[in-house]
Amino acid sequence: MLFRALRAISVVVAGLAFAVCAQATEFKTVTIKVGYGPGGGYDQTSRIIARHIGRYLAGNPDIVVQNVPGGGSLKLTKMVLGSEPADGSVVAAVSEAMSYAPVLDPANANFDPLALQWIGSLVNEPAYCVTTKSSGIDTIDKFLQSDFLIGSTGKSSVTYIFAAMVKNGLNARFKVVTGFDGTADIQLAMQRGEIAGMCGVSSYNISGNRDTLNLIGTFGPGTVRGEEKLERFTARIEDPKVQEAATLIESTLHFHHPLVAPPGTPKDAVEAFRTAYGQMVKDPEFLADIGKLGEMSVNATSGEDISQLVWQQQAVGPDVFEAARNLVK
Amino acid sequence: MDLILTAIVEMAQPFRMLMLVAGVFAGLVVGVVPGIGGLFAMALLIPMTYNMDAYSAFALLLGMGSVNTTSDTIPAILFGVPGSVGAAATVLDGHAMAKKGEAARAFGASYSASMIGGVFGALVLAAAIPVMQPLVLYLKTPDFFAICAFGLSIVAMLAGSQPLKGLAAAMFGMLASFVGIDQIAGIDRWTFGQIYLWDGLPVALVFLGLFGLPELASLLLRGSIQGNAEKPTYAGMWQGILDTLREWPLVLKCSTIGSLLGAVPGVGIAVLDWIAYGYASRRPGSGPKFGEGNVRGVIAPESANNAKEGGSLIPTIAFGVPGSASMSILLGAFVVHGLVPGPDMLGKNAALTMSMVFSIAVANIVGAVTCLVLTRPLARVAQVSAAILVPLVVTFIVVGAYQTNMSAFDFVLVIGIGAVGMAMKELNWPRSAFSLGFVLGPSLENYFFLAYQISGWSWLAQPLVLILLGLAVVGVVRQTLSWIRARNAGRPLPPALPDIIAGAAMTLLALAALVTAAIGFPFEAAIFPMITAGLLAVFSLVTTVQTTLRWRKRTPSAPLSATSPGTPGEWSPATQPTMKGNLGIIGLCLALAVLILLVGHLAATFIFVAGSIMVLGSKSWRSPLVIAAATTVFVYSVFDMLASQPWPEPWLAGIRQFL
Repeated sequence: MLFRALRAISVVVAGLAFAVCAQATEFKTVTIKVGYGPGGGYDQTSRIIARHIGRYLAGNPDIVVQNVPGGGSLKLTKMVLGSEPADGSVVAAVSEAMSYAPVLDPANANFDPLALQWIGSLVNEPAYCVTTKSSGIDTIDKFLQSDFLIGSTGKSSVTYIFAAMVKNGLNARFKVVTGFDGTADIQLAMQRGEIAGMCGVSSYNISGNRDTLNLIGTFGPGTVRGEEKLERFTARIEDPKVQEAATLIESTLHFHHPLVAPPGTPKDAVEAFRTAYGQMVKDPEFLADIGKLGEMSVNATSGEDISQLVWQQQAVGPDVFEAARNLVK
Repeated sequence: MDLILTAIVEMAQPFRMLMLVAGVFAGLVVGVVPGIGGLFAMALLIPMTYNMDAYSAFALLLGMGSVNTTSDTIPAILFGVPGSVGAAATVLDGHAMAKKGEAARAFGASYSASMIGGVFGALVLAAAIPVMQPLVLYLKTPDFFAICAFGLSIVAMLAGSQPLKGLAAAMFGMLASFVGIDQIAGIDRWTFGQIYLWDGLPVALVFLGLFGLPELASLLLRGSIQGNAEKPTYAGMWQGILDTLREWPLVLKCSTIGSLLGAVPGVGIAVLDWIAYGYASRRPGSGPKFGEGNVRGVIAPESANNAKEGGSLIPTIAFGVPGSASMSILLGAFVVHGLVPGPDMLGKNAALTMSMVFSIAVANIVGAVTCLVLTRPLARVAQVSAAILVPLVVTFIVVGAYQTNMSAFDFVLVIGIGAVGMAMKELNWPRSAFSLGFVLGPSLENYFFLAYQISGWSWLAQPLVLILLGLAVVGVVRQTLSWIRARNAGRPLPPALPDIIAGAAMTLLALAALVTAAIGFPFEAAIFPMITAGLLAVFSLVTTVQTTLRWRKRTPSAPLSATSPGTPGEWSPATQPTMKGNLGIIGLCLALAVLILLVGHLAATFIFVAGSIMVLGSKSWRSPLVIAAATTVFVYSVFDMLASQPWPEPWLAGIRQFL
């Protein structure tokens, strides 16, 4: 009872404080556009955010979700950079990989990820390479030295980029099969024994059949709660320039599932979104809803920190970009 | 047995049954209105289920998902406009029946076939529960390729009275399906710098344009859907139900096709619909030709597409691999309710799995009975004047098309494809063959490359692959022999000169595609488009040459008679100045599209409906206004309240701001 009363009071106080400092930005309706089709991880998390973030925005706006799938969210990113209204009425959920899309693909050279206004992200955790227990590949050495198949979706997806990074950076002998429809599809092919493993997966992707898989190594620093510490693939790369390139690609793992606003969105609106996002990710009701999505645990990164990371990404020399391109070929 | 009882007891709670029925009604509405499909509706409903228990949640979602293939036949039969992609095959014979005054019979047949198919699919799901895991694991990637190749061979059945044109149409459809970013190399093919085209041509939009607009043109000329003034009765409906019962072997076979293919990821209702239709067209039975109102052409796709729901749940439940697009959304609901697809669903959550079987079966029965009750008033629509119907249907096609991407390109595409569809209809290029090529192209290409990357060529020796590819070859060879035998049968043919122009244009298009693919795409992204374009060039060139020779010889064309014997086909010689109707429909669509962009969809609907009813010849001025107001309210309640998508700001509002 006491707890509930306290919570109510704190919400009211927060609301008042918020109303006072953010009077300039009253939100009427906010659309969260999702760069993927309905049903995937981005769609689900965005719909949960839509359910909660309105409480923390002045004017208590209605939040609607709209799917704009295409090119692994590249389509929506280009729309956000070009044609979406920059008045705080639209924010977008796009892949974190968009931050280096111009780096990896010269065809995207004309778009500037620094112009995106990053609001915040939900997940900050390492990714894995996994193999099936039946494949017998259970150590990083066997992983690098055996002939087998790794499954991936499209060539711009994390499942391909991280697999290619290991293959090219560490001269691994496996082959990468592209063209699967999604991670569930890859896992089914693994169960059929058609392929042996996959890379770039997060812990919540594999929560369903964790006990049939070997975790081989990680991308990015740190570990996931409840898992033993594994070797980081990029630590094995010897050439310092290639390693820098690999770290560049890994850095996006710090802001998985980000939300962005179009360039030109007024500063106070962006600030209001960032503050609201920061409050939302601490809200127990929000956390309870997100917790229903597999074993996803929120480990948010603030919009300011993401901007900093993206800025660092773009600040490296052109030779490192070149190395990064070669890594994910 | 205990399991079934537990599931029934769980489902018998009033709230859960209420959710099931609510889902069914939502699903029926979603099915009737073109533009919002089950896919989208499911994404909207999922957040509503967060606070429900799992039984109620799946009752609501499956109730909705199971029946939109029941009600999507309503616009298909009445107007020739598929309510969802699953009803495109039903258009051909269903709408032809409505034109002959048999709308009630077509409804009776389609609903009863839907119901039996749906219940059959649920039973397949129930029967599959114990063997689900090994069953899904048994099928490997090459088998999926073989299934798609077998599906494509059905094109031979749909090729119509000029088989070369049929094959060309199928290749044309396949070529169209390759537009967009490819799965293998990740490059864009024929997108002309348009981000809009990255995800390819939207299926729903293609079917709306291809089937909906050409039928409207002939409706405009005829004056009403049904030529004669016979009043529809319940007798017609009962006749339709009896048709379905009499054709029970066909119903069971097509239900089997639907539920089995539904379980194959990548093979959606758009595909299995046509496969069932093509399968049925092999034996047209005693009725009229296929495409001219044969009731088997309604029963086959309708039983198949409702049976799909049960089938596509199999891989979803067993492995979390969605058997269809809407299943991938349903998967989201699994996660939200803490359910992990896999052994648990067959073990400790088996009662819930069984309740899904129950939900699908009950939803199909409730949905079909509801539609049957509505049959008589709906069949009366067949006698309403075209001056009122055409504006209404144009509104739903155009507003529905705009739902796809909320972009002006939606209008351009649906009208452009409509024009292509009109030409195909007039010149006997079967749209059914185009559709099958279009929906199978991407799966065929993708499964081929997956199979090749995984096992080189050795997969060609796998038993199931051999059987399926063998069956495909046998089917095509048999059909070819029958074409050769029927070669010299005197058949009515479309007018020569436009036919030659269209054939030549198609040949040029194919050559252009061939060259651009060869030069611009990397090998793995180019090979399928090149083979397709090459075949298209050959087929269309040969048919053009044939027509030219015939034209040079000035063979008098056979007397115009729609009942002449011949191979099944959807084409019959035109008896009216169709050009006028076609241009009229395109003009109406353009007018509405421009209005929507200028003043927004609600004001545009009102102005357009009232205006065009008056232009098309209404005697009073009151009724157009009343109809326009009612349509606007309906559009608002469906597209703004039910499906709350944000609409782009109309141009005029932008100008006001600017001033």
